[in-house]
Amino acid sequence: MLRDPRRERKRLVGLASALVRTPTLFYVTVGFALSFAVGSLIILAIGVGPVDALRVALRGSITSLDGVGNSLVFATPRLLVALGAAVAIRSGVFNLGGEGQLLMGAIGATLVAAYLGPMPAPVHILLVMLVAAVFGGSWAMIAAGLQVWRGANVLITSLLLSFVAAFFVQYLVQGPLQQPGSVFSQSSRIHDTAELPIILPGTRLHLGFLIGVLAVVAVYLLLHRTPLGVELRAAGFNPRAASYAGMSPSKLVLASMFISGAIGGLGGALEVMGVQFRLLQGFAGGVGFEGIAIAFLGALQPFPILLVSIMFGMLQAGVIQLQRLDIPGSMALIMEGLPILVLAIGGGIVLMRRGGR
Amino acid sequence: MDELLTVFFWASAVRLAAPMFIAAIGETVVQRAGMFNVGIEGMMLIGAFVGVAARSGGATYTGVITAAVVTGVVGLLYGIVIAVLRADQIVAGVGLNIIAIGSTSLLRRLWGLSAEGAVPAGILGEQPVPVLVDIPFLGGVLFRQSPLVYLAYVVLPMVAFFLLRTRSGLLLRSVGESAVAADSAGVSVLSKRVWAVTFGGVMAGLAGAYLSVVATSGVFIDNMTLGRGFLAIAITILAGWRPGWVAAAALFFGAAEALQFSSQAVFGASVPAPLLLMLPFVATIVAWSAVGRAGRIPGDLGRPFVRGES
Repeated sequence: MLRDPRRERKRLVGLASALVRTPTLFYVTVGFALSFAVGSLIILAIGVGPVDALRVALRGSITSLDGVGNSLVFATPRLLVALGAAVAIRSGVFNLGGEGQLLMGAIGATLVAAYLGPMPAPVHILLVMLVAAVFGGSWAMIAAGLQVWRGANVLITSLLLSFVAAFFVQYLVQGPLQQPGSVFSQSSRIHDTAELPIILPGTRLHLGFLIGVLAVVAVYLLLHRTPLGVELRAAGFNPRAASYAGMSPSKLVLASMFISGAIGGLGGALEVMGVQFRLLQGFAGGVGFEGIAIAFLGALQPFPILLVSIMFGMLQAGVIQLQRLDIPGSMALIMEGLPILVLAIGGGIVLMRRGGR
Repeated sequence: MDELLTVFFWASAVRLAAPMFIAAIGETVVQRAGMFNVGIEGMMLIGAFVGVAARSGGATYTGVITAAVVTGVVGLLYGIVIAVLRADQIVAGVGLNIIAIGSTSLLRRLWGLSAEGAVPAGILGEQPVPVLVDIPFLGGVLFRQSPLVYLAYVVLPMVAFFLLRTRSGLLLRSVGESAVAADSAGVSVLSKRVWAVTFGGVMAGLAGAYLSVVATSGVFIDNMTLGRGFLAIAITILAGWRPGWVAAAALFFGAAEALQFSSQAVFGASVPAPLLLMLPFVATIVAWSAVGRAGRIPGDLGRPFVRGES
């Protein structure tokens, strides 16, 4: 997998096309069914009435305005990282560094949002988004460049770069960017003009979710309606044919990684401007890895990814409310991990059926 | 710079390197068989949890042994998932890691394991080895450690001998180089891979138990592995998949971590800890890029084996 990027791409392509063509929906449904069954068992084992628990979880995620807002707020960063991962993987580049790209985006966003301005809100917000996208994209380009020029597989370097980014955030919020006079590992608060407006009054739902939905449409159009998108998908499906057709594989790796990282970086900006209002230690907390999982659960397609992200957001929002019944919030992670595992197994079964034993 | 030459510095480097070292021994075998165990992070975390949870009142080694058994079973099941069922190794690994963080944290809350549960590591704490500890410098560095570290000293040469000098080891490597070729020569690709991942699980469990039972004296903290499993993967790569180099690569990572406690004396100014902790990751990226295409990577690393597809 790691020796020859071209061969690696061929393997990924097998996986990607298997996911797109075969009954992903079936395995995702089975996965979520299993996950809810296990969730119910945990609740029963803890000794809480399942009906009570369900009511609380639903109110926390769907059946109240507040809950809907929370679900979509939780969905937003996951959605953007997943979209970014999907762009790269559809192009045959395994970007495992969404977490780091989100973090670098958050750093860029904080720099502009807290230390530049105040300026008119629309200008400020757009500037923050632009800088965050460039930060995230550039960070991803390091991994892309090392693959293109040094043959070091993106999978490994992007993963390692995530840890570098996490320690860099820690360094910044304990050092140069630490809020003056604060003992906490956090930056100063961003300017009011960089805060995303609330779009559903009475909830936490901010403009970032709509920006995420726009990104879904943009990624769909990019992949299916632009020459670059066609080339990226071609490189993903059959790298050799793509290079015979005159496309430069190196350029496509660089382009797909930049776009992928920029989308992840944008996710970091939305989290800074809409939820945290500052840079914090432990800012991402595994969202990057969840994003990769969501990309696969969404069969690497933009609109299904939107649905799965909302699903994960609802899980988070619902389970957080369950803490009032003394059910630990970590249950959400178990319920998110199970469908991923089921889908991975499903993909393997598809692979075996195709190849025979 | 004299600080860098003290027994104290290198002994703490070995101590900090130990969990990554133990896990990387396992991961080397796993990757030589062509499997890419991204789930190693989750397995370590499970080991750390079981190590603390299973000792309750008993001797410390019961916790560690239970941890190794439990992660061995996890490794066996996970090996079946990625080798036999051909689940994608990255996606499945991400899933396992998320489930591991969630379930260990959930069980910690439900079983009420609190930070007050700190108990000295007992027999698994520092145990100087008679005679050897008197060797100048090296004795204090290498032989005033936890018995789990000594176990790693013994397992490493055994693994090296197995991989490089035995028939089984040769067959295991052939499975990692080219599963198709190994298969047509009659080697059982799948069982070799499953057993390799099982071994990787046992080692990851020991590594995790070292973290919780020895390093933090019996305290389990949510997500306490903090990327050390991924570091073990980085060490495996940095060592070029050669067992002999695993120790050196791990020691390098440990030394970078140890630097944060003596950076003042070494550099004359205090270097922020996050920057020092970042160092091994940067170094691995540099080394991995320098090796690049020339690296001696197992040819079929990460590729599922499907008969009839090359």
